[in-house]
Amino acid sequence: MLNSLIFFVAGFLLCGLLQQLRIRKLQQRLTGMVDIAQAKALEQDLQNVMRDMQQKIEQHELLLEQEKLMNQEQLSQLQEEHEQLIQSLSERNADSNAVAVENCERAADTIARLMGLIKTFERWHDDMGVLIKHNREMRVKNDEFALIVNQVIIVALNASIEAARAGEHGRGFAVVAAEVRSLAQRAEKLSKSYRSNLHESDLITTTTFQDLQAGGKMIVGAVIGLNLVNDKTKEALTV
Amino acid sequence: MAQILVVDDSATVRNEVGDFLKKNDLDVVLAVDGRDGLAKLKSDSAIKLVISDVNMPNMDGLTMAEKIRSELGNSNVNIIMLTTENSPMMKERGKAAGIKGWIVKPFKGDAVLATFKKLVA
Amino acid sequence: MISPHAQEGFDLLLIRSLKASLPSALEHSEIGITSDVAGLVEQEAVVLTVSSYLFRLMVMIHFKQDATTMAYMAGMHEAGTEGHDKQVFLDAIAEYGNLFCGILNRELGNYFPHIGMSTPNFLDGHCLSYIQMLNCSHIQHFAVDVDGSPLFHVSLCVSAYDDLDFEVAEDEASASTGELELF
Repeated sequence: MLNSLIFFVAGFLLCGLLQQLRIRKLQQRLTGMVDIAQAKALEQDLQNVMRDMQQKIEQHELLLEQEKLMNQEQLSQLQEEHEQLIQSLSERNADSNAVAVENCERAADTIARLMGLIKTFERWHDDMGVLIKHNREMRVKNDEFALIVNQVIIVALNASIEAARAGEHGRGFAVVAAEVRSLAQRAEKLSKSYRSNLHESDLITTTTFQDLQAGGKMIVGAVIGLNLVNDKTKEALTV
Repeated sequence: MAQILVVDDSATVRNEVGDFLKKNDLDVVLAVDGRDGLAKLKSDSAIKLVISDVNMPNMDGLTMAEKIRSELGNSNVNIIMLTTENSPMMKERGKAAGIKGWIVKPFKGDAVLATFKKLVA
Repeated sequence: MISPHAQEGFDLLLIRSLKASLPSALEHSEIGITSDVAGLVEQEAVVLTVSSYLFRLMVMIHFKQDATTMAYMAGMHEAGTEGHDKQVFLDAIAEYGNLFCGILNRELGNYFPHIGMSTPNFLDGHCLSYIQMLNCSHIQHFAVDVDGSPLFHVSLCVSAYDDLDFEVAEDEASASTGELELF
């Protein structure tokens, strides 16, 4: 009997506990539940906000679409202008390129003619060579002349001696011999003076000859250098 | 026997270079200026190497090199200049004429002998 | 007008070229400026010219045709000039002049891009007396001494067509010679 009582009370208590738990759960649920009206109002608000946003987005999309169209128009306009610019630039470049190439060719022509200077230098070289040879011949002739003059002086001296030996009969002859001697001495002086003139002439002629040679090489070198530069420029332009 | 042509208006240089090459078993012919060099090259087809001065009377070395290629039509013979000149412009002119090399005087045989032998082989 | 710097420059380059062109036997020779030129008219000379459009430069190498000079000339070339043949000796001197002036021409080329050189010619020493006729703005004489006494002399004469001024760098760097540059 006691056992059943205890079981009955325990079961009653247990039920009670279970009920408490259920009530507590329900209460929790209740507090978790929002007021339906509120919820509905909230839902409405949300829907309004979403509608607003949707509108705004649509407006923005419209604006973007318009801007995009405008940009595309501008871009295609710019592209067109650019193409026109490039076209006119490349035409101008082709023109100036053509002009530059033509100038190069004209320069090459002039340079080729300048190379003809080489012939002029060769001519001057030969002319000067003739002059130097002429000077050398003059020196040889002058030396020969000096020898002859020396001989004449000796002969005149001998003649004077002979004339003196001949006494009275030789007096006329002595005068002539003296005059010859005097003339020969003047000739000797002239020959010496001419020899130093030849030294002077030799120096000037030789240095002028060498200046022409060296200067000619300098000019030809400069012209060849110019030609090379011109060729390289033409190459670069016609690439 | 390979053939080398030495062109220089100075007998001293012709003999110096010529004797050195002969001492080293190379066959040598000499010329006194560009015109002479052209004539000697034209008459001897065995010549494989030309060693030439630049500054000479009667035709300078570079003009001779140009004429070897154009007038003689000889594009095979190797040409080396031996000269006191060192200007880049002259070297450019030489290169345009197809010369093989450039030596600034004085001549130092031992430094170049091996290359010469290769060029006449 | 040639500026003092330019005058010094010409002298310096000439001495440098002399040193570079002298045979090995004369390596320890002294090269200096001299005014003792009275005896030079009795000697012979080799002249060479270097021309630019700005100036013209003439060098005269005075030499004696004696055994000493001949011996030194013989030592200059690898093959060696045997014998005392006058023509051989003169040819060797002319070639030496060509070498020396060639170096001077190259050195000057560093300062004056357009420049050319002549071939050598012989002149009688008496020609030196008329050097004033060349309208030089700068004349200088140099002596190459060996063992205390002059072996030979060099005269330099520069005529300027325009105002000249340049400065020579002190460094001794000069182009290497004798090597084959292949293209």
